Order: sequence, then C-alpha cells, then structure tokens
Amino acid sequence: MTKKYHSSQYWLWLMRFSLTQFVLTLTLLGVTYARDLRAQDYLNRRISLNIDNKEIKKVLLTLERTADVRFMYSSNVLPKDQKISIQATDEPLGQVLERVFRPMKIKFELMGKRILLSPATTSTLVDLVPHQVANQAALPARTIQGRVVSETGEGLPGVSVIVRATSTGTVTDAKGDYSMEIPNDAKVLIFSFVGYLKQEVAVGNQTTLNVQLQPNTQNLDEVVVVGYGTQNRRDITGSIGSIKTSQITDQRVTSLDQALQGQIAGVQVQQTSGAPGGNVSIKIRGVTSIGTGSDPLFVVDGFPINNDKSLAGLPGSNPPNPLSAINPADILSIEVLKDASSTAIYGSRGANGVILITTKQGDSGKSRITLDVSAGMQSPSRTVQLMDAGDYAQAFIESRNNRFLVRGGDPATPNALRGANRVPQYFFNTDSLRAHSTNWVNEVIRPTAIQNYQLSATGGSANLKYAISGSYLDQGGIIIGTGFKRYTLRSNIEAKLNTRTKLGVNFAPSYSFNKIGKVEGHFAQGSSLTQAFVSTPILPVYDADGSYSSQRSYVSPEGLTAVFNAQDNAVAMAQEAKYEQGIARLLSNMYVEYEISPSLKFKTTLGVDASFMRLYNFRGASLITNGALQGGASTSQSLNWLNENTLSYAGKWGQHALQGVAGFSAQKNSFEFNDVSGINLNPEVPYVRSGRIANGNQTIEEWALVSYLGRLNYQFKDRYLATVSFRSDGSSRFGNNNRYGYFPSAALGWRMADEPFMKKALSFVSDWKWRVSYGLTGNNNIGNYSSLGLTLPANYVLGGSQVSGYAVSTLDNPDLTWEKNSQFDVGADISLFNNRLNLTADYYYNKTIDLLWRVNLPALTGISVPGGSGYAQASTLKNIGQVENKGFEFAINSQNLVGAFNWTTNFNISFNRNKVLSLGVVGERFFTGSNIVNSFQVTEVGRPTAQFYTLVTDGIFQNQEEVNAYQRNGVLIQPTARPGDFRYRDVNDDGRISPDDRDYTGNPHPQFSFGFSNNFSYKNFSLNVLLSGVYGNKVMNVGSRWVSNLNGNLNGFKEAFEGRWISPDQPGTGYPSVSTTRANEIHSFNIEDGSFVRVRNVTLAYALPKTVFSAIGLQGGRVYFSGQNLLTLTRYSGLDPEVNENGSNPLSLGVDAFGYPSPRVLTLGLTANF
Amino acid sequence: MKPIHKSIVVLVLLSLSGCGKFLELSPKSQGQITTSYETASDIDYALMGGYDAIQQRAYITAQWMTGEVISDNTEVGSGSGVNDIQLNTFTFASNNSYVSSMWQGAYTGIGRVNLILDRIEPIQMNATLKNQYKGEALFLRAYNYFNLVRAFGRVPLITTGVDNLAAVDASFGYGLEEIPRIYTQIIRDLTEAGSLLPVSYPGASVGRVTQWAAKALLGKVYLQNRQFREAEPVLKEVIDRSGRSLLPNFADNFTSGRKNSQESLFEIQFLSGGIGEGSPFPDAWLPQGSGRFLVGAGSNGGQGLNLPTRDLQLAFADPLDRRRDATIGTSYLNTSNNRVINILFGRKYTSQVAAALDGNDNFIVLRYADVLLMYAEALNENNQGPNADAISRINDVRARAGVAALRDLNYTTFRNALLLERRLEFAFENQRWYDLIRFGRAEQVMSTHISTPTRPFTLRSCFLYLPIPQSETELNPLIPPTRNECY
Repeated sequence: MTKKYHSSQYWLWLMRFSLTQFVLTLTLLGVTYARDLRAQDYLNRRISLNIDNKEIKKVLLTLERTADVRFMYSSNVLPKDQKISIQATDEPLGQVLERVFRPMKIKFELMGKRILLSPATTSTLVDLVPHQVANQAALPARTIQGRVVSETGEGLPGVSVIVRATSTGTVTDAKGDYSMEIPNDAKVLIFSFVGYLKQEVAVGNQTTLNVQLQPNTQNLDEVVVVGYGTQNRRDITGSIGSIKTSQITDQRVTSLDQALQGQIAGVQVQQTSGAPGGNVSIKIRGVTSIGTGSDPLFVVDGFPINNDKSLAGLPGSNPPNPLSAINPADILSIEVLKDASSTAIYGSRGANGVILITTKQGDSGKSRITLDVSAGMQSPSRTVQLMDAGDYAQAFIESRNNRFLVRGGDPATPNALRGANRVPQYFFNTDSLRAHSTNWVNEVIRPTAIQNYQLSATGGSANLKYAISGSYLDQGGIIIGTGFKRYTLRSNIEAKLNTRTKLGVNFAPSYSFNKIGKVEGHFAQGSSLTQAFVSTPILPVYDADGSYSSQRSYVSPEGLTAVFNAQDNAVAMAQEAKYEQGIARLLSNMYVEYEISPSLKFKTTLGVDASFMRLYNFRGASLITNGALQGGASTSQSLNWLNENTLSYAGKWGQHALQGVAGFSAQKNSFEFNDVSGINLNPEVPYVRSGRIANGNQTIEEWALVSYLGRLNYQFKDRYLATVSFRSDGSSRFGNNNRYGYFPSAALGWRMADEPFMKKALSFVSDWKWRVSYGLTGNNNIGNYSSLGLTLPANYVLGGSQVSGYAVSTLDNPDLTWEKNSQFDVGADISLFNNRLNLTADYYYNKTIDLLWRVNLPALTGISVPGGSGYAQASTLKNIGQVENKGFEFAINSQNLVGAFNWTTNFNISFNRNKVLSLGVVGERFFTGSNIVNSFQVTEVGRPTAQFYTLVTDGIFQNQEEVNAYQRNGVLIQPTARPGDFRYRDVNDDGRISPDDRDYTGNPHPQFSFGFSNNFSYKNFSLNVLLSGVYGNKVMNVGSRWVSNLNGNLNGFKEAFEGRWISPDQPGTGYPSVSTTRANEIHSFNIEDGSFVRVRNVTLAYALPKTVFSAIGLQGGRVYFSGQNLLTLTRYSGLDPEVNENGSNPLSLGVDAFGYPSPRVLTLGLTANF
Repeated sequence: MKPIHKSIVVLVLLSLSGCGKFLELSPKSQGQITTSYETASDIDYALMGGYDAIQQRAYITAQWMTGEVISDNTEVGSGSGVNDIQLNTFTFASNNSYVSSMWQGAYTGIGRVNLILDRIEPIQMNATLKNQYKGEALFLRAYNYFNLVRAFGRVPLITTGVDNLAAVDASFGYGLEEIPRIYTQIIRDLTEAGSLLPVSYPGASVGRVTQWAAKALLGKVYLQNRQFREAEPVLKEVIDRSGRSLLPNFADNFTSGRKNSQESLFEIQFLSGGIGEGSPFPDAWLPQGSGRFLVGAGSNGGQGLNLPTRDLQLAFADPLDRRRDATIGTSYLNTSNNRVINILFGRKYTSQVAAALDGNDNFIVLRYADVLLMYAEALNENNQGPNADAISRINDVRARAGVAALRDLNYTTFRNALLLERRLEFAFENQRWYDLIRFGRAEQVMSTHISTPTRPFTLRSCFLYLPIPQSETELNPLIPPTRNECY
C-alpha cells in the first residue's frame, strides 16, 4: 500500500455485498499497524501480466486469478464500460493496483485476501475524528457503543455497523469496539463482516450493544484443503467434508478422530474402545475392504502419516490409537475426501477415503497468546445390574441341583452326600450373604479426573509467521489401572526469504504415556472387566488380612474346592497386570516454495514421521494365572520419510481458468521391534533383569512407495468445472508382477446458480452446484512382504537343548496387487436464502475389485500356524472377490436465527448399503468371530459382510411336554434338552440340531448413521449440542453367553437371574434355567439391537465481558462447561453399544466382549487471550 | 538459468530414475521359502520344524482329550469349558476345538515333512545323513497319519508338499481316502524309515527317531490294523535287537530325571525354561486350584482336564501294584489353610514347574513295556491263545509293577488280561481309547461307564470316529461333513 493512501488512519469505506445488491456506505476506522503489515504482505506479491484494452471488470477477474485475491466493490464504483491496458513484469501487486485505480479515483484497501474498492472522493480523504459519524444528514440524537466479538469471543476489528435503512454507520476498531451517534428513531443495527453472517439487532433504549458474530460456515469463498493444494469451495467438483477449528475445540475431545464423530455425512466414527487414547474406527462410505484395513489415510500438513496400529506393538485387537498423539487444539481444519475425484490423487492409499489435517499457522500481525485450562470428571455413562451374593448362591444351588439330577441323582439325597454337586452349606443362607455382597464391576470402574492445559502463541511480521503451542493432557481411565497422559509441542514457522521464496518448518514432537491394562476379552486371558462381570459376589475384594481374595484357591468351610471359576481377583487383574506404553513421536516437515512466475510455483517438501515406543508389562505376584512372576519390555522405532516435489500452475484467459499440479514423491518406512521377556522376577525389582530372560524377539520391516501424480482443474465462465487427476504408485508391498498401479479420476461440475436464468427466476438460490465424478483408487494395507513366501521359526529340543527349525508360514504370490476401488459420485451443493440454508446431497456407488483376503486353506497344506491352545487356520493372501457400497448422504446447515439470538443447526445422515459381489472360486463363505469364540459371522456373496450366523433360539422349553412335542417324524429334535433349556430352530429340517442349523441372525451394519448439532448464542453465552447415532445394526454381546446364559459358577445380570426359568410354574421372562452345561453357547439370544442415539457433546460457554477481562489484563476470555457422552439412548444391555472387540477389522463388526466403555466427561474450562 | 531453476530440473530428473531397486525390499528378520530347503543344513532346520509340529501344545492336548478323556480312564473337572465336557460325554460335534486341533496338528506335521521329502533328493550331501533325514521325515509323516486314521478313519491322503499357490489349488482336490489306503501309506513309510534310520544317536541328537522307534511304531500300526501276522516279527525284532529294557522303577518313566531312558523308544521332547518348549501336562491335568500345592507356585493352578475316574482307581485291584500310586494321587494338602483336599488326580508327567505350561517332562509315545504287551497280543491273536512267550511278556510287565504273575489263561482271558494290563500300565498315555476300539470293547465299556441308574446311555459305534472338523468341510467341497446318527 502506498504511503499516500496511508497518510490517514481513518478512512471512509464503501462496501457492497454483491449477492444481495446491498450497498453500504460507512466510515472506516482503526486500521491497525497489524493490518498494514498483512496488506503489505499481499500487496508485495509480485505479478506479471499484459492486458490490452480490456473491460475493467474482466481485468479485475484476471488479477484475482494471478494474484490470488478477490475484489469487492459496489457496482457503481467502477466506471461503466471503461477499458484499460496494463503491463506489468514482476511488479508488486500494490504498485499495479495503484496504477490502475488512481486515475479512476478509486481507493483500495485490503481485508484478508479481499480488496475492497471504494470511490476516493475528497471527503473520504479528510481526516476524521475517531468514532465519529461522517456524511450523515439525519439528526444525531444519541450515542450507542459496544463491542463485536467472534464466535470464540475475541474482538473483531473492521466490522461494519450501520443503522438499518440509513447510511449511518461506522466500523469497529482494533479491539472490536465501536461507538457512534444514531438517530433517535433508529430501530435496528446491522452488523456485517466478511466471512461472518450478517446480524440485525434491535436497538431499543440501549446505549451499549454487544454482539457476537457467527461465522458463515458455508462461505463459498472458503478455501478447502485438497490433495496437494487448496481450492475454493465454489470450484470443487469432488465430495469433500470439512470441519473447522471451532467445531474441534468446542468438543474438548482428546483425539482428533473423535472430533469427526457425527460431523460429516458418510463418515462413521466409532469409538471401539472407550479407553483413554483408545482405538477409534473410521469408515468412510462403508466397508470397502474385507481383509485389509478399512481405515482412511491420514495426511497431516501434507504428510501421509503412519497410522498402522500394529506399530503400537501391543498384542491385542483394540490397540491404542496412534492419532491420539496429536493435540486436537493444534488443528485448523480437517477435510474428509470421500469420492474418487478427491482421493485418486492419493492412489493406492485412497480407497478408504483420505483425511487431511491442517494445523494452525501463524498470521502476520499482533502476537496473540492463548491459554486454555480445563479440568473435569469422568464417570461411567451407563450402569448394569448384576446379581448379588444372595442371587449368586441361589443360582449356584440350582445349577448343582440340576446337574445332580441330570446325572441320575436321587432328589432325596442330602446335600452333604452329593459329591461333586455338593453346595457349601452357608450358601443356603442367602439373606446373610446378600448383606455382604461385592459388586465387582463397581470395584473396577470408578470416576476419575481429566485435566488439560494448553498454551499457544501466534503472530508474525511481514516475513515471518509463527504458531507455537504446547499442551499437557492427563486423562484417567474409568477402569482402575488405566490412564493416559500426553505432552505435545508444535512449532509451525513460515519465513519469506525473498519475494519469490517461502520456507516453512512444521515441527511437532509429542510424548504420550498410556496405562493400558487388559480390560476386554476372555477372563481366562486376564481381562479385568470381563472377570468383574463374572466374579462371585460372595467373596470380598480383599481378605481380612488385606490381601486380594482368591476365587481360584478358594476352599469352602467344608473343604470344597473349585466352587468358583478358577480365575484371579478382578481387581488384582486391573491393578497388578501392567501394560504401560510410552510413545515419543516426532512429526516434522520442511518445505520450500519458489515462485517461478506468478502463475507457476515449485514446492519441495521433506518430511519425517519418527516414533519410538516402549511397552512395559508385568504381572504381579497376586496374579497366578500365568504362574511365576513375569514381565517384559518391548521397544520399537519407526522412521518414515517422505520427499515430495510439486509444480503448481494457475492461469486464466478470458473466461477460461486452469489450475494444475504435477509432482513426484518418494516415501520409505523402516520399522524395528525388539522384545524381551523374563520370568521369576523379583517382585521388589519388577523388571526383566531381576529374573531369568525367557524370550526375545526382533522384527524388522520396511516399505517404500514411489509415485507420480497430477491434477488439472478447469473452469469455464466460472460455472462449468472439470477436474482430472492421476497417480501412479509403485509399492514394495506388491508382487513382482504387479508392482505399479495407476489411479485416474475425472469429475465435472456445474454451478447452475450462476446461469442467468437461475438468477432471474430463483433469486432465493444463492448457489447451486451439481457435481459428478468417477475414478479409481487403491488399498495397500496388507502389511509388508505379503507377496513373499515366508518361513517362521519352529524350534524343537534335542539332547536336552533347544534347536532351531523353521516351517512355511506364507506362500509366494507374485501376482498380488492392491485392491482397486472404483467410485461414482453424483451430488449437489445448494445454498438458499443468502446462504442461510445449505444442503449437500450425494449418491455414490463404489465397487472394490481384487479384494485382498487371507483365503483359508485346507489344513492338509500343512501351513497352519500353531498357537498356544489351537491353530490359526492355514491361509494365504489373494486377490479375490468384489464388494460394493452404495448410498446416499445428506447434510444440512441452517442458520435458523441470526441476530442477538443465534441458532445454527447442522444435520447429516448417511445411508450405506454394503454387499459382497463375489469371493473368487474358493470357499465363497468366510467365517469370522470374536477372540473368545469363533465363527459366528459369515461373509458371503449376495449379502453384506460379517453377517451374524448362529443357531436360532425359539424361546425356552417350558416343560417336558414341550421337549417331547418338539419332534420330526417321531424323533425328538432335542432329545437331551430339559425344561428351562433353549429351543433351537431346526433350520435345515433334518430332525436334529447341528451346526448346519445356523442361520442369518443379524446385520452389524447400520441402516443409517447421523449427526445433529445445534449451536445457540445469545449475548455472551453460547451453547453447542451435538448428537449422533446409528440405527438398525445388531451387536453380538459375546459376554452375555456368561452373564445372561447363567451357569451357576459365573455371576451374571440380575435381569437374567430374575427372569430365569425355574419351573413350569415359574417360567421367568425368557431367560433359561441356571445350568452348568449351557454357559458357553452363543446363538441368536446373544445378539442385540445396537442402535443408539448419543448426546456426544454439550458445551456451554460464556465470553467474559470486557469489564472483567480488561480488569485482569486480558484481551479476551471465555469460560466454558462441557459434557461429553452425557446420555446414550439404546436398548443394548451392555455398557456401551459402540465398542467393538476387533477394533477396525472390517470383518468383525459389532462384537462386544466387555469392551472398555466410553466415559461420561464433565469439564470446566477457561480460555484466556493475552 | 538461475541456480534454483537448475536445482528443480535436477530434482525432477533424479526423481525419474532409479526407483526399481528402491521398491525391492526383502524381509530382513524373516526367512523366505525361496532361500530355504536348499542345503543339508536347511533340511535339518526344516526337520526340526517337523518335530516341532508334534510337540505343539494344542495337538498334544487334543491327543489326550480324544484318547483318554473320551474313555473311561479320566474326565474333566467341574470348571471345564464346553469343548472339554463334550468329549467327556459324547456330545461333541464337528466344531469341537479338540477335534479341530487333532486334525490341524496332524496335517501341520505332515505338510512340514512332505516338503522335506519333496526337496531332499537333489541336494548334494552325505548319503547316510540324507537317509537319516528321509527316515525321520517318513516316520513323522506316518506318526501323524496314524493319529489321523485312528481318530477320524477316512481322511485326505496327501504326500506332496505345498509351497506355492498352484499346490494350494491342488490341495482343494483331495477328498477322503479309504482307510486301507491310508494304512498302506503308513506302513510303507515306516518300513522305509526302518531301513534308513540309524539305531541310535550321539548325545546332542538324542530325541531324533531311531530305527527302533520306526519298527516299534510299525508294529503298533499293524496291530491297530489287525495285521497280527505282520506285527509279530517286527515287534519281536525290537524286543530282541533294540537293546531296550524295562526301567526297574515304573514311576521313573514319567519324570524329568530319566528322559530318553532305556525303556523309551520314542518320546516327544520338552524343555522348561520359558522358551516355548515346555509341556502343558502339570497345569492342564491337575485339579483346579491344586497346582501350586502339587507342582509349585509357578503353576497356573491346574485346569482339571485329566482327572482319573473312580473306575480307573478301582481297576488297580492289587494293593501292591506300584503303578497305582505312580499313576493316581488321591489327596493333597492346601498349605495356605492346611486343609487336606481329597480328589483324584493324575501323577504322570507332573514334575515341579517354575512357570505355567512349562513342564520339563517328555511325553513317551512308545516304550518297551508297550512293545512287550503288543507282542504278547500279537502272539495271542496269531495262535488263538497265549503261548509261554506271550505269558512271560505280560508277566515281565507285571513283575516290574510288583504284582503277581498270571497263569492258566486261554485266548479270551488272556485278551481280557491284556486290555486291563494296558489300562493300568498306560493310563494317561493316550492309549486307552484306541485299545478299547482295537479290542472291540469301546461300545460296551463306555455305555456302562456313562450310564447312570436313571439315565441309560448306549454308545453308538459311529462315535468311534471323530467327525471331520467343520473348519475343513466348510472349506473343501470335496470333503463332506460327517453325517450319521452321532453327528
């Protein structure tokens, strides 16, 4: 900006918002030094162009393209039909603008990326006294003042404030304050600011009027991050969902993927483990894969990061979430790329969708320091009723009676003479037992604290911008023995070396420490929560001497053993079995961007994602499940580097505009895992060294990826849009014969709203865009070396010493290739009523071919992998089969009320239908299940993946007559059944019950999932409420085979006990009798409706009034109260319908094996700006 | 051109070259098939894989579940899982985990040695060593097929290795083979192994199969296949020439102190120490809660998967029979509260352990006492009555046990005496169920054993073979699910 236009600090502005034809004349105040710098920054941008005698409006369009700015002006500002010529070679924009506008007496000023044009009449150049009204005829009668703040409570400078139906107005100063004189009869003030929704507020008799503006979330000029670049939302032809920083910070989530929950149509985010730092499964548009991962690719500031959960090194299927290492508060925006047009540029990693994470960058201007402190309590969000000690004793007695009679005992035999079916005498005194009952679930679940501290500083000068932050999170786990701590630092710095070269460094180290414990799974494997559910309530947690009580070595007063299940004390399992994981992670990248010419840029990036993990485990003396004191330690290091080089181009000729990017990238990952374990450790020194080293292991793996990529975006008349993109990936993971893959995509868009007929006919339509895209993406999540035939160690003993051996574990498959996903998408983005109502709708059809799957092999191949207690079926990875996903997505964003009271609603809903189209020649049926019990889910052609497939229960036999009547051709179908047992449906009608009678008993895929959020604000208060849910999915409650099918030894649900069949006269409410032989069965009785609606988040915030924060020296401040997971409406009987035992495994959906439930979190926090 | 422009060009050019090698990454910490099975040493390692297969805990567990628990010798304790109880009560189906492990374990062993037999011929190596390796592989294949054919009857017979996808596709082409064809293969393999294997090994190799192991197993195979004529000379040769003899003290067979003893012909080697080579017996067999008092604090407490029946205890009719106390314990002291717990438990292979599932005792597959009794059985069958030789063999075994010699026996009484003797001698050694079947007594004995006064039970003969595992029939269309009145 030239000195001349800056000679005064107080300007008069003319603004016009083109869509509404609304013209404002106002006085400009308070352009701060900071704004000068920002303007300087843009205006120093060098451009080259050569325009000969063109209409001024077209010249401005060309300038917009070449200089990446946007002009705003009232239609009467520009001289009509004036034609001009400009020649510029590598000249600063400001200089060019001055040459253009000065002769026309037009003044220009920069606001963000926008350049506002106004007539530079003599009067506007007159210095005005601040806060005074100029150029008004109406009689000044009174003064009104106030402050305009943003959605986060910070003062907004430069907001125009005018009196409705007049041209009286002002703008806010650097702190967002304004003051002006208004006519006595002024009724309404209109507040408007670029990027925010206009607000009209009644004045009344007030002399002070404070206003909070709400961002216009569907701003068409919004810049959206896409693969290898950015685009204006208006030009996008793909299906992309975005969430912004405010939507993330308001939720107080601890991991960024949780921030996505319920926010974007087509994105199902499932907290499969509620453990702090626990696993989150994200599925974009359904399960596109069956055997490989279905998680999307995560790209942080352009770096596709390792999200490989196996890197965590922890055995188990719900490993800690590697994304939990990133502080959500550092995130500026998250973009979810859903269709092939947007994901194909990520090639062999794009098939499950791509999530782009952009972290906050500094801004030229005044430094801003923000401190955020919050603390809260976490508690279980649901509770269950378990049997008490009296119930337990009664169930025990019944089970032993039943068994005694089944084995031919005489009912008259006294208890003492019943041998193995004898019941400890004191069990008969149920009332006194009930008085000393232990609720084990309440013993392992407890309320716990959470606290979070964040400090950040942003700012910069013309040539240097910075955003630096640090945070500390301490989140306890609601299950004892678990908890999570995270320390993060981030430093994003961008420097301008000269007018053409920019250099940036993003440096983000973090350390997280996670006490994981072992919570879900089989109690026999030490799962504390499961054991808590089934532990006998008769025993106290601690014996009289303070040691843990023991079910395992319990002996009743009459000397009876093995009365209870022979497991450890559940509290000891939770407290004494330690799995503690520390991960130090460094995400860092550095880039240089060089402007070859104003339309051509070259960028090279070098990034590193390095992580170092250590895992410590120890099983203390009070746990005897595995005998001697055992412990171990593992470490892993993963080093992932990436080099990316891109050339990007943006140009415009007449009505044609073209942007392109072309690039090359190389990425390599090296991973090493070392592990040592010891036994007979000294409990005083519970580390491997104090015992005998028993086992060690070392695993080294690498992968590499070499890619070429490109994209062209073409716009004609600003409303006909086309995009093509391409990527070629060469991957070390695939077979020799298929090392390279090619991933093209194409898309068309039509901004119908800009057609003249639309503008005339439907003026309430602000924007209407049609999109259609088709493309090919891939999925390479198959692990390393999968195409190679490998051997595994298979050792033996000779001469009293161990000797080494090996055996085949996998086979060579040189043809192995990536899964290919072809995706068609058609959608529309519609904005109505001045952008107050925004609708997005998409239909997609998505077909994955060459599905990768570990095809089970006949055992006689000999390739099965022995485990401790059984064999993993022999299998080999092959490209077989096809699966389709199709569906609709709708998103609605509505600014219901704008004004003093603001109300915004976001609603999204998605319907996905999944179907397996083929599974190759072999098998045509894949069985999966839980780690506890296998083969209750089937994936087969013609149905969605992972259908529950079990025996079907048809109620309970009420009496012997019903057993006898259940026959086919005179033969009893369940000859050994007794009254109180389940009746199974003879599905194949062969007169008996066998595994062949299994049938489809439920679909774990939801019919739809939705998110619904409402934001209200009034004066200094704001309230956000976010709901989300799924409908129509079934969940296998694996644990209910113990806690609902009572066996007398294991404890269970009170409802099951009270509703059990006792006798024909006491038939109960549909639960079977207590029986020692039935407990482990699993069938349709254990499958439940998993639909739920969850109040995910409620945040109430109060922006501190000026008097408060200026008194304590702040620029702004805000206190908030946030509640997560406040309420879950569901018919599911377990603790959390959302958990899933096998985390993100696409073929193991809807399996609850007493998973870690998500806690309810109540937080109180304070944000202060300095 | 400006330097920065030059550097861009250089970067682009660099990027266009030399990607091929960058993508060729082979595993560093894992072996590859393409570089295995190539040398004598490779074959030796692969053989250890073959031995490892028969040492797998799941496989050996399945063997006593389907060989002992199923019989009248033992039962599972009250806290056992559904798979355990099913085998105890003849209510198992094709998805029983032990049925599946029996199948998977055997074929894993077969597959591993099939590859050795496929690849060994062209390898340049010492001829004696090559013979030995071939003999070991043949023995292991026969051992596994013998386990399969006894347990399942008709099974697929595969004798080539699977190390590539074409072979995998071919493996779907195997249906169920006739039982005689399987026995023919077993006999051929063992006969050849017997001619190839050495009679003994130096110390560091003790544990490998010997010629005598092959011959003793061949005798057992003949016997089970009711080829008594063929069994007699093979077993006689083992008795006469192997140099094996009975250990003076019966109980020594089952302790870690006397591994690979003079009585042993073949045993599965275990080694404690937390290195994955320990045996599961003490923890799996002992009654729940008893482990820490019986075998030490390192035990997981006992899973109660092998509790002797009262019937077995009573079968030791002679109070002087030394085998009784070496086989069955009747009580232990809970030292935490000084209570005596009265319960029957198996004592074989239950040396002290330092850690769970990490027993040090070997498991004897074939011992000299078995050869003696098998030989006596063959003689009785071949001569339609016991000759003096037959009687002296059974009496050798009885003498070591400290019980009186038998005399005045005819074919039937001798046969009954043999079945009883075998029960007492080999309880928990995975013999009982197959003995009952061979003697044609399984239906009668088990019907009596399981029946109660109010609930009569009749064992149908279809229960004599396990059903083909569901996991296999679901996969291979050529292998139909076992369908009869039992399954």
